[in-house]
Amino acid sequence: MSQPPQRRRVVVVTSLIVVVLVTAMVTGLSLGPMNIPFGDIVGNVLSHLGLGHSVVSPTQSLVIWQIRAPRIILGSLVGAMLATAGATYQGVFRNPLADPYLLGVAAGAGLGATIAIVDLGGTTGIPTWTPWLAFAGAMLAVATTWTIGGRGRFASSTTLILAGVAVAALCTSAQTYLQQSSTVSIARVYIWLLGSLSGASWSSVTLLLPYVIVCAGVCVASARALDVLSVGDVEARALGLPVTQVRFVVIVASSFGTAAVVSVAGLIGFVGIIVPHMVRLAVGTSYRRVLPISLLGGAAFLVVADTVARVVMSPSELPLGVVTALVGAPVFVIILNSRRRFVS
Amino acid sequence: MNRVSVEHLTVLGGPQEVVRDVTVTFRPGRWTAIVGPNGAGKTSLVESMVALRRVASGSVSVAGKDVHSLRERERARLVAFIPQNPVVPVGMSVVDYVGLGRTAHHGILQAMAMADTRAVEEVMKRLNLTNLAQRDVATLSGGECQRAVIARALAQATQILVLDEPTTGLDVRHQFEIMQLLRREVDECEVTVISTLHDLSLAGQYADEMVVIHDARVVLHGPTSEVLRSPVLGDCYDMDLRVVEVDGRDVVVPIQRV
Repeated sequence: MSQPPQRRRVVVVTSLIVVVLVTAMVTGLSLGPMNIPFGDIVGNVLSHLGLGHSVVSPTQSLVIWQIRAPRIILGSLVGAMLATAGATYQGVFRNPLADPYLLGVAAGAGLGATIAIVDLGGTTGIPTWTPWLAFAGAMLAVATTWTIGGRGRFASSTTLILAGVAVAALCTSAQTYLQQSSTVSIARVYIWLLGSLSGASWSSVTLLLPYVIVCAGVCVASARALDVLSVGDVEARALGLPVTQVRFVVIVASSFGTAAVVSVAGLIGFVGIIVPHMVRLAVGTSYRRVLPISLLGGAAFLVVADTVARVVMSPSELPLGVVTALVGAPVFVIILNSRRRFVS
Repeated sequence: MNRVSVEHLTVLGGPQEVVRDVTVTFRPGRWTAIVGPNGAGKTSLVESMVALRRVASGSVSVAGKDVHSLRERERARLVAFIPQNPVVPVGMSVVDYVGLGRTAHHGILQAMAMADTRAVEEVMKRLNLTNLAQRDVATLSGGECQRAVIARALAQATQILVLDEPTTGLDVRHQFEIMQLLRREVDECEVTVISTLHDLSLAGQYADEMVVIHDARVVLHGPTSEVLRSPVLGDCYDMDLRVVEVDGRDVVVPIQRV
């Protein structure tokens, strides 16, 4: 039952993404306000592996390992989680437009963060409380959505999506009200909302890592169940899939992971939509391929986007969400066009 | 393993009773066609046999077990179901699609075992689908697609097969092809087939027994040739039904009442 050409394609695409990811990581270590030559970076990395001698200065080493490296690792975790959660949502809702923010994660996190910045923060900076309140807001929003639209044996994904719309609207209106009521903090709220990895450190990496491993792991492991769900709730149930339970587990995992990501990096749009669609275009629609490859692709995409965000206006930074949308929108149009050719 | 019985079943569709106190036992290893006018409650009845409908009262038992208290996985190993308009996924190959039928046999998180792969291969060969294995299901013709859907149900390897209008949208030749294929499952593997059917002549030629549903109730149940000749059947449709024998087979000719 093997399918040699398809399988070869999967191998090619996967290797290509790995190459892009590694190149982007090394480039990201090299570029920035302090430019460190590409070769020196490679030498330094190799010296850490016990191969050869490093020529970088202690300051450069500090910049590489304490500032840029955690940011790059954080970026790949964020990208991997968002892309995996996006693909999972698209599968569980059988809706190509579903993204990880569908059930109110974004609006809830935005509300939480705004409360932190406006009510608890001083007059400058982002308060340390922000990630926790953002996380709480996101989980609360998803829980509300689930309570309204997802309970009961015969609840459908449509009722969930509609509940998500309502919850998101409510959170957004509260968030906007708070944001507008305080002119001192409005800029900081916006900076947070547009997403950034500038707060990255090894501690934020270790904070996020377990969430990403567990949540993305659950999503990837559910690939076969998502393939079964592609025939719809009724038939999936008739085929023996415990649809309600699967949907619950998968939505909890992807929402939890997304909430964790949003709490450290703010709202970074488009990753969860375009990465899985690009992957589908390359390797087909089976979630057994789409999920693991999206995980890798999301990491690569976000590391590239973050490097661009850091470098383009250096020494100041573009918000990451602006870059992903700037790249994302045209790519989305291209995908749409090639899909149209497929269908008609 | 292949017995299905429905007892005092009532199913609500909104405030209305779409199945009203239905009691019927389907003969194991035989083909029973459920017929009746549109809106009589046929679909609700077959859907509740696989626990896709909430039941107001009564019960459905399959192989001696109450379907509504079975887990999805256990139920799917006892009875396979094909809805009237199956969802056709885009971008899935026929072999993967037929493989979905094995969901209840391997774990949700596990890959297909050798036994699953073999079962899929065997069903595809039996239904003449092997040469279409790598085609995208969404690109198949109506007849091929319905064959793939039935292959998926057979891959479930159940002793009971429930189908809602399996010949919808097919041309005459493909209607007969599908019917023949189901007949073979009944004759060779003693599978119990329960299917709703609109075409009385098709039902007459292939089904062993007939259940007539009218206004959410069972009004007639018996051997096909007897049911077709009963005046009650025509009354359900408000039509005169003439049964003509052609080469030993019953063909039903409906004539409008005046």
